[in-house]
Amino acid sequence: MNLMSSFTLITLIILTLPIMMNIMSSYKSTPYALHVKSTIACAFTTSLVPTTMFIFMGQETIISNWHWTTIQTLKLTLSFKLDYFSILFIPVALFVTWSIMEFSMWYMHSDPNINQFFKYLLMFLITMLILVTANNLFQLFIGWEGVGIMSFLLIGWWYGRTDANTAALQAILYNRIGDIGFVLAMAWFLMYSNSWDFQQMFILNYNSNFIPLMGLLLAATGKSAQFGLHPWLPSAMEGPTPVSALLHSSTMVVAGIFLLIRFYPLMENNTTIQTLTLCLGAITTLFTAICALTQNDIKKIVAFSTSSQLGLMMVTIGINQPHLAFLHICNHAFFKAMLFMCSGSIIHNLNDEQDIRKMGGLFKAMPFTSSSLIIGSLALTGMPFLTGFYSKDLIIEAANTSNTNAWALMITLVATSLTAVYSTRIIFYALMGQPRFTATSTINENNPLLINSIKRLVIGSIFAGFFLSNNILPTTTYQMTMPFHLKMMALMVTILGFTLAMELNTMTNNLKLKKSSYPFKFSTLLGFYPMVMHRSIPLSNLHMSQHTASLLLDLIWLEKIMPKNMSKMQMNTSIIISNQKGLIKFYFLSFLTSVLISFLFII
Amino acid sequence: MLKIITPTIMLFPVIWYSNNTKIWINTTLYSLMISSTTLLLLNQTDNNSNNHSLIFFSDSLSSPLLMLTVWLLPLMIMASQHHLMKETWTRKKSYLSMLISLQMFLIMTFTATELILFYILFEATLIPTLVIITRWGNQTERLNAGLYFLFYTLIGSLPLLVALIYTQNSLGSLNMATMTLCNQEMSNSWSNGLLWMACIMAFMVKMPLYGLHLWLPKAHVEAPIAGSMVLAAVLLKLGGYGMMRITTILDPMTKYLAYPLLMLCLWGMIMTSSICLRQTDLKSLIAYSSVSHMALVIVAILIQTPWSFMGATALMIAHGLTSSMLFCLANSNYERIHSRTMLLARGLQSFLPLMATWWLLASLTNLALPPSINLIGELLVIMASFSWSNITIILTGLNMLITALYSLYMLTVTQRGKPTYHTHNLNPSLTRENTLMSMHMLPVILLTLNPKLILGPTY
Repeated sequence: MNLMSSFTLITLIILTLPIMMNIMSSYKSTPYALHVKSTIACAFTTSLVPTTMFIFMGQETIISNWHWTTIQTLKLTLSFKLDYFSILFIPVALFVTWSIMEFSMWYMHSDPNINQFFKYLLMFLITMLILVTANNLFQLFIGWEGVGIMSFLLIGWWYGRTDANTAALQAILYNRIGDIGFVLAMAWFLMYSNSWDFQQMFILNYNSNFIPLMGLLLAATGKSAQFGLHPWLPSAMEGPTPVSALLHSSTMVVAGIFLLIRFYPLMENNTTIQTLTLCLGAITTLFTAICALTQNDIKKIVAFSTSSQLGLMMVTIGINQPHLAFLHICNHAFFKAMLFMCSGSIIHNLNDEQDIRKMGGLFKAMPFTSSSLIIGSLALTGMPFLTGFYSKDLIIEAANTSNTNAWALMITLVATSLTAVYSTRIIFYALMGQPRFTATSTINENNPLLINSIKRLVIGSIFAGFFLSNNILPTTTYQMTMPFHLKMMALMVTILGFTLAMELNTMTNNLKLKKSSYPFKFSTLLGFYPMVMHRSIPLSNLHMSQHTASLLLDLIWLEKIMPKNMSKMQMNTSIIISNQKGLIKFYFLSFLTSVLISFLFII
Repeated sequence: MLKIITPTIMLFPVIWYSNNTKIWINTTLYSLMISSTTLLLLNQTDNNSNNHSLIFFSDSLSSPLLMLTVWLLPLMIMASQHHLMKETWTRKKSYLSMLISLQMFLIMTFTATELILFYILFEATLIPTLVIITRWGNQTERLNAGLYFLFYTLIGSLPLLVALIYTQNSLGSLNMATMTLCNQEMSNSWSNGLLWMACIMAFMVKMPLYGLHLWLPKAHVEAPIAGSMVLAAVLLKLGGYGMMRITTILDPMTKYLAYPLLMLCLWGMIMTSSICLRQTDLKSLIAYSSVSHMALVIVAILIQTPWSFMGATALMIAHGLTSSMLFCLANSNYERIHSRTMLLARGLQSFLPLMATWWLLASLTNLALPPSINLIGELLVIMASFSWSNITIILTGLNMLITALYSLYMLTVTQRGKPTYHTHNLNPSLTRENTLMSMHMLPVILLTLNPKLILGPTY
């Protein structure tokens, strides 16, 4: 019983050890990266114990509290909540991170600051676990902001590049917009339930209010890159590939979804917010899928597909299936991290070439990476009996049989089929056909660090969904019966997408468009969103701050009204009321005449 | 209280009689020892105030501020070593004497029991500050800055003198402890409104309120490093402290009269933060960020709930340490680049990695990263203002966003990117500077572990 919390704590404590390694002697003897990797492997093993016990015993939740401070009526504790969500997510996150750490030992081996890189990744992982295990909003906020800042640092890892710095700042900007919503929710809960503990908030708000949930939705929109606040995610690909694999596919970006899942007891009672979530998710999943269609940067395609999958998770929350969304988070972590690592392997082997038009024929040169990439893509599209199938198929089925917003469900289906299209596009351009890269690149994927890390995730991408969905009892009832065409719908649209994409891709090789069409422009320019939003709003804001706030108000009006006006007034009055006019000659003359006259009188 | 004040006074002979080469180390160590004695005040077992004598007392509101003041003196001395390198010994000694006299006045201001004594000392702190700004500033604009500083503060505070004399007449006492007991309610009349305004205005100028803040960027930019540090860290907090003390006798006028000021603060908070986005001058950016943070403190104090008072106190201490650290960092940049312009100091992370860490930490605390005390302060203020009126969350939330933006913009511009061509011959960061930064950061981290120490009397 108590083993659960103690083992989870051991997991967390193990992770903090390498942070304090500098003062230990082994810091110099063993490579730091190796140490971090084995620490995470160790933590993963430890974390399996509570997970197994959890599955075995069927407990609901275990909460451990340590008192931190009491502010008036609010008790703030350091409290860890080990329930279905956190206890399953910890091993998944650790497993994925373990592979990514190993992968980055290969990918970052020439970086002079590799130790610092690993430290950052580790700190990110810790903040993520804080976020996941938090039992009150304050602790969740610590993790929430922590992952945001770590993503800032990691995206801007190559700090000499302007693009990386801009992308880092952009990520923070969008995340902070979401944070306004988070703080709003915190303030509201504090006012109306006088607590930030989840249990208390849920008990006291049966008829959940719209405002805090709206705030939470805004927060999730920012963190999970939903439509409106989505552009930071593709920009974040400026960071090193392991960062994209860890933060921007499997862990950090799902934090927003995770937050909504945590709050599902409140969400499920409020239909307005559910409709909003559903529509937002549907728009995101379709829009980003469309954007992914025409991208040429391999990492950007994967990033947009991440965004699209996040939209799908949002849809799942919108149709009130939080457990399904959570299952998709876990499954998605495996294959999406692997897709990123595969693209990292390709990029690294082709001397930092990210353009899929300049790849081609990699199937011969890099058989392992290619097959992993194909498995990952198939898992992503929901190929039966791969990991993605177990959650994605259920989501589509649940969506198809639900009687909510048909429009939103329709575009989700379209997006699902587009998933197959862009996956095919990567496979077609990068792996099939003739090589189009320079002949000088020395391709060598036979590094155990690379092979092992990807292999582990390949196994995960094939079997994890099966294990996860088989071992965990669903807490909400899934739809059991449905017409045959609805049952086959997900599969059908995917196959449709595959065949269409195959046809189109073969055709485009023999086809040349004279002028790019409007939908094509829409897709390559990301729906004109960055063009409009990233130019007009910052421009007007910065103009406002320069002209209105700084020049007009501070330097002209405030200065003029008070100090300048005062001194001018003083000067004017002193000039007016003074009878000295500065006529020196006249004064002297009158002085002289009067003296002369008085002289005359005296004489 | 004498055991803090007397050693502070004895710092003068230490300076003037020490060996010329030893003055820095002597004063730093001595003032650090003094600051260690004030740590005893941390232990506030209950809500009562510690009456040290008839004229000096400290409670859970004043003792954190007192400790901040005393803690800052060694830091100021450490920070200004390079700035004074080329001066003669006599001038160095007189500069140090100014800093010490300022600290002496500040200690007494924070611990005075009588409002009139508080007022006198409040004004007395102007003199050493003025001398520091106008004598040791770097550019000719320092004279203008000194003028602005003096006149704004004086014009604001002279009505307070009248108001205090009037209150003394009507109440018979200006003792802060007894004032709460014997105050009569202010009725709603024009003259009482004026009285309220007179009482509050002095502190509003000092804080400063948006609109009355023009002196602050000028003074901060022109002052030497120690001056900027003490201005940002302690002198602004005098306003907050004074307001929290005097609002007890201003009930219930504050309820109605605070509205315009609250509006102005919330509006000014956004304005000053957005000014920060367009600043090219590093020190000016930090100065404007102080204005925007202090606006939050004013909002909190005017709302007058226990939560908001807690937030205000915590934010004052947190901001004191953070902004002072930012000024130190800006100064260490200035000493190397010889310019305050941000664009000239790009890409310093490549040269000074440890300094970049300090920059990162300072920026993160400035943007209130959880769980730092800055966040606790800001969060409490935001909660209090949200419960006062729900709409304020839009403005405070927007301010959070802009604060994060300019803090990280400052970090990105100075530390990230490619180094400029003229940045050769950079000195490595000195141990003195690293010690200085860590001594700013250490209290922030330690207080984060136990924030209730600085949550003030309403905790």
